Amino acid sequence: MAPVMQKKKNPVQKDDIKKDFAEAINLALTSYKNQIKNNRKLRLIDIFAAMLVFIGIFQTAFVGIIQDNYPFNAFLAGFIICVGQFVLLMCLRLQLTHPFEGISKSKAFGEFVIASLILHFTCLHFIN
Amino acid sequence: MLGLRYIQLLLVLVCSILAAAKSAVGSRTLVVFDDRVDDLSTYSEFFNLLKDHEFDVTTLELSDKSTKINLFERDTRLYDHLILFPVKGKHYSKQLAAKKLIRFNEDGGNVLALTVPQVSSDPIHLYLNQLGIYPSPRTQSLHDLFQDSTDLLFSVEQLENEIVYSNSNEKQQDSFNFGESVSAALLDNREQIVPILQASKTSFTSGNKSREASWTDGSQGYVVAGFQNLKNARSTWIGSVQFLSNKHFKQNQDLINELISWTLQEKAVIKATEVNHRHSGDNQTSYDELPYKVTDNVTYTVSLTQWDGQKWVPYVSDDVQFELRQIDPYYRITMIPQGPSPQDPTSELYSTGSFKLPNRHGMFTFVTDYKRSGLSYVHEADVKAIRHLANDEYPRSYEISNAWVYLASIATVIISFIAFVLFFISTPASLSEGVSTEKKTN
Repeated sequence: MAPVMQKKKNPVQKDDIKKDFAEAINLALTSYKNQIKNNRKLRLIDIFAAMLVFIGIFQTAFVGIIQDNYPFNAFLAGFIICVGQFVLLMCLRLQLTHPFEGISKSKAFGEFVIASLILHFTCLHFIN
Repeated sequence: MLGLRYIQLLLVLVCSILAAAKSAVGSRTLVVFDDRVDDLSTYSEFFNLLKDHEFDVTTLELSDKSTKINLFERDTRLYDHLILFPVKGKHYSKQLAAKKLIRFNEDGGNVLALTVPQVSSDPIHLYLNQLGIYPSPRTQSLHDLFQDSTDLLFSVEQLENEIVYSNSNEKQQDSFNFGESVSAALLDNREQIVPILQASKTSFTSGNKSREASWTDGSQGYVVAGFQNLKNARSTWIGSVQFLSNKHFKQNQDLINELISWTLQEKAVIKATEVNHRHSGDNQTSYDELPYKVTDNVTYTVSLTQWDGQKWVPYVSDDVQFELRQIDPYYRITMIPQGPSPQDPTSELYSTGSFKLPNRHGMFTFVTDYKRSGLSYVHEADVKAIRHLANDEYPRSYEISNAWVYLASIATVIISFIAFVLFFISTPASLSEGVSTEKKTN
């Protein structure tokens, strides 16, 4: 009797994991949809972030396809501006959803703009 | 006037034809011998040959104990060449210790040494051992299974070095007679040693006692060997004195002549006269005016000249190489002869042509390292710095087509950032707020 019990038990466990996983994803998706449903600014941020990810992947793929990283500083500048902008965007997004104590949303946006300008300035100089 | 000039020219021509080859380094020669071993009159033909070569020969007889040998007066060398016949006795070993011989050789003096198995000439043996030539010890002499031991013959094919003895049509002898009691030597595998005449495959050395082991067997032994030290002074050892005697002189004349020419530096003497490297191009600016930087185009030239016995003439060869070294060679270029040098017509100009310096900065050595067995060594090295690019000498990124992709993506990011900021400011925080404002305006 015991082996039969075990056989039954295993598929149940696998199904459980799958179910849990799907449930977790569904939960995350629904909460995300809820989050951006009524907030255009968050949607705007996410679209911009997706674009940055795409540009970054595109440049890496370019280096891989031509098998040469010759103006390496140029590649670094192009890639770092994507990563940096993405990080700054995420910081802004965090502060919009969960504002820090003592920092208003508009102040956070101002800081984001200044930090981004410094990033652009640095990258433009780095690419020479 | 014209007639006089012609006579002068003729005289010069006649003189140059009559005069035999001369040594490139000097003519003072000292011959050391011992009357008890050999009578010098049996070598009169050899001394006539030396006189034909315009050597200023001094003979020194050593059987008298009061004779002193001075190779140096204070620190200046008294002789350019030293010819050592086998000599007996302890007096001799004191007067001509191996150390003195080595000092003489290191100072640029050439040594022609002869040994025979009957006489133990210790200092000569010690000196030769220092060079890496190990002649057979006393009582061991060379025999051949297929030859009479009193008349050992060596064929031209046994000669090993083309530069010391080249087989041209002028020479008619196809074998050389070394007479009896020949000693054979084992050679070290040093690069400075120039093996000249190899013993035949059927030969061996043996002593009086039958149980004694042989010193050399077959072709591992040599009867004539040369040595050239790093200052281009030469030593030659011949394993027989009868080789030089009047009895065999006619048969051996060609080889004796070539051996004297080589050892006393009448031939196979080359040197570099002019070494130069500069920027390629029309201006040909030198390093002093404009130091090299990485990936510059540079041309290296060197002029080589050769002593032909009378004068310096261009040395032409197709295997002279240039190296650009920083520990490892970055370049090894076989240089192309360009004809006699414009500055000095007696030497041949070699050029690498224009080549690009490696993309690496640091101290580099421009070297011509021409070392061929039998020829004088040429080593010309010049250490120069190659600088890296200055910060404003790199190409701008927009000059490199690859970088356009990255430039475009940076531009995209910046433009979309500006668009993002504009949209962000103009968009209300939430949809409900937006609806409410619309309602209000309505």
